[in-house]
Amino acid sequence: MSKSMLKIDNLTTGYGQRQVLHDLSLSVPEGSVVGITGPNGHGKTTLLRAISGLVPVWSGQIFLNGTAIQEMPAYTRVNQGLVHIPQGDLIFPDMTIEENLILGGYLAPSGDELNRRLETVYDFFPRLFERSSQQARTLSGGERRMLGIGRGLMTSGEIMMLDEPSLGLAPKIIDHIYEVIAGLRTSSPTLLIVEENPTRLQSVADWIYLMDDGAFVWNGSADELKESSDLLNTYLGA
Amino acid sequence: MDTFLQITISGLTVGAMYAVGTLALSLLWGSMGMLNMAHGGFIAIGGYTGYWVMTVLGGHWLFVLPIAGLAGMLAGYALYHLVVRWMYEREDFSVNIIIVTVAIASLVENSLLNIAGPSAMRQPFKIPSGFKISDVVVPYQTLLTLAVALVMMVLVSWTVNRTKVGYVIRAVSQNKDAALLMGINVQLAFTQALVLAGGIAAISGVMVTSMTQLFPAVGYDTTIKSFIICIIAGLGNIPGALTMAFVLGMFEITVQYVFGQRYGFPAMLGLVVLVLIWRPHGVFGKATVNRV
Amino acid sequence: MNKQKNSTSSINIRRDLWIGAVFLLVAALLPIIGMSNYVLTQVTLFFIWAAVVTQWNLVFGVAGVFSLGHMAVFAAGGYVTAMMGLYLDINLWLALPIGALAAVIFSLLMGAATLRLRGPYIAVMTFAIAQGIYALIITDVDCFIMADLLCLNFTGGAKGLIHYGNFGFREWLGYSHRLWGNYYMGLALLTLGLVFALCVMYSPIGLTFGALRDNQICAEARGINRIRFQLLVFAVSGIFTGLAGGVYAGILGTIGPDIFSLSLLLFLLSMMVVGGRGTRWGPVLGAAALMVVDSGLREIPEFRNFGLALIIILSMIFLPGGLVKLVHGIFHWQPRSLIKLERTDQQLRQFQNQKTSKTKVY
Repeated sequence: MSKSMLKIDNLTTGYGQRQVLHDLSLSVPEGSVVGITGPNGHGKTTLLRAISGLVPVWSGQIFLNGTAIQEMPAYTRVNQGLVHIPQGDLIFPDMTIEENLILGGYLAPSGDELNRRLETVYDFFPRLFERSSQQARTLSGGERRMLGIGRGLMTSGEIMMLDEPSLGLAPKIIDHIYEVIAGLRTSSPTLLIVEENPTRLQSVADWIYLMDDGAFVWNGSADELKESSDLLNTYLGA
Repeated sequence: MDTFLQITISGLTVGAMYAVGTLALSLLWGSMGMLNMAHGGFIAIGGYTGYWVMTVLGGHWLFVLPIAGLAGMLAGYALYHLVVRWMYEREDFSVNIIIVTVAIASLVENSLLNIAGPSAMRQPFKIPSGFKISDVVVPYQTLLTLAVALVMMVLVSWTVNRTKVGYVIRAVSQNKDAALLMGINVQLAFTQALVLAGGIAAISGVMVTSMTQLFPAVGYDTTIKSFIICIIAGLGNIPGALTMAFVLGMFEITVQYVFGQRYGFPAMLGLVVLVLIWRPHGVFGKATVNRV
Repeated sequence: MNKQKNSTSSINIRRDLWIGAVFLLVAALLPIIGMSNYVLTQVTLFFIWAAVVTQWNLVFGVAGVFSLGHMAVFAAGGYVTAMMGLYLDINLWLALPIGALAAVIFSLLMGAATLRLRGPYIAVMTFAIAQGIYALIITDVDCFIMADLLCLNFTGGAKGLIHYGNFGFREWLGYSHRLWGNYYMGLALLTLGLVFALCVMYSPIGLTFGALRDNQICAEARGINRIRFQLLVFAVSGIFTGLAGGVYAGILGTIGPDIFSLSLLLFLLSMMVVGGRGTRWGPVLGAAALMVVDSGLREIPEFRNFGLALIIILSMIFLPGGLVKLVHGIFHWQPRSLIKLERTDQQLRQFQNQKTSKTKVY
């Protein structure tokens, strides 16, 4: 049993008076790719935001590499090795691609390391290299997604969480993105991916959780999910 | 011709003071969404510190600006740690902080009233006399004011665009959540922004009080005018605000010359109201996308 | 579901009516029981300020329009009432509605000037407008009337307006009871103003204001015309504010630019904030609390503003819901929110049981 990079115990939280997540527990073993899928608006993004600290937790615990992080402010969790590539990209609009990427490497220990990571990102995304001095606000949807992922790569942590990497993109670009994700496994082996589209998720994930109304109603291997079309029908109308 | 020259010089001077004010206010609005109505407090603190350095401590005038700046920076730091820090995470921050900073402005004024007394004093940091261009006297103090304002604009611009601190402040103002996810200590960035804003406001306070007088409520006038300049330019747009500061400064002085002193501010205000009806986000402002 | 909602608001209405009736009774009886002239005047002032804040609360708290220029509306009512008495020799009682009308028009203009602005912009602009009016009044040095070699400015200038008449209480009630007239007038003002504000808050208009405050984009998407309602709230809140200004002018016998001062703004703002903005009883509670605190602060006049400012800051940090929330917390809300969470848990467990019984098939 490999050690879990990320472990969540009985996580409950919400916004204001409204509870969104109900008693969630999950585990992401080191070196594996775990996926979370389910209908939209049911709390998947809230879960990732609670893990990275953008949303405070009401009760429950989050363990990153054995350390409890649920009380830590968001920026220190990054230092502990948690990378969150958020839904909607959240790029810095009035900065260039390169400036965005450099900010991604804010915690890099040295200038050399920063440059090394920058090269890696440009290798993954040659398009970004071509447009490196372009203002981020002028980028297309696919380019923004690449920038978001690239920025996450710059932050270079122990576990990378991706929130809806295929959101709003054309199928060909999604192909490219998922190729990159598959390729990520060599450099950043532990991934947690939230994806509304279970088919895409099945192609990269080892283990998948199904979320409905803020609770996990099923979890199993990707193959199991592929086999049970009923499950998919009930929750995703697939 | 002389009138024109006089108006230009006065307008530029006044505009320079507003410009520095807008710098401080824009910095805080852009990075934190904070409308700092206590800006006038920083101005007053700067003015009184300058006076204190020269009169009470008998210091050399060289020390005035740096020490006033330091006082402002401390005040900014205090403002963050005592007040803003607790309010930032709550909802309605942008409104609550207005209320609180109005209260703080009053607090500072009241304290200064008790410490220094209500009577207006002369700011000793002043170069007397000036030189003549045709029949118009250009006071040396005006040139000094313009020079100081220019230096501060360059300083802030350099800090925001070239230093790591400024880089971080810019990132936080463009997307706070993303900045957090990069490992940026956003609280620290806010503190730095407040310290910077406090420092430049205090230094501008020395100059403002040298042109007018030194009294506890001295900061209110510049604050409200700098604010409406920020708004007419579009909150958060620094180059736009600097431009509008000079434009409106000239406008105010012109109106004062033509119609009388008392109509300066109301006319300025009227102009801003009219422009805002036409362009509610300001002349240079961008309509922001509000996510529901 | 609708029936449930209606019954809760009718419970609220009934409870408010009871609370109001009790206070009204107590307040009406107080002078009869016996009060020093000083306390009588202070309570009268409390009535006036509370009336103003209840109207301001409609704009600021209920509609979420952060106007800091409300004192200018108050001033419009007061100054116009006084000017009617001074320049046109109109009986002050008749001048009151004229003042109120002027206040409504001024408030509408202020609303129109800031119509397309959002949030903090409105705060700054309304504050600036009030300060602009203040500047114009203070610098009014031209002589409008020469009365026995005495130069009187049109707006009264920095000195203010005087000698415009009064409500005639001294003639009706005699010298020793003249203050009773002021007192009951103030009480009537507060009662009517509060009833009016509560009616607005309970009405569909009030709910619309709240919807616009809570989520403007959603509200507009549902067809609510924000412009119409913003103008409406400014106009509506101006009525009793203007009346309050007129009453203030009539009772005090003088009205001057000090009503634009930052300390008065802060005083009233703290009433709204400490009481609980957007709530029904917050303004009155806050006004009462602040009047009490202020009577203490008057002992140390040099630090009065300091004290008021500190109160605002501390209550914003530690008591963001205001006194109303505190009182409610003591009486109701906690049990209710627990019940809410319990029900959600139950529902969830039921749901999960259903789901697991389904998945067991696999």
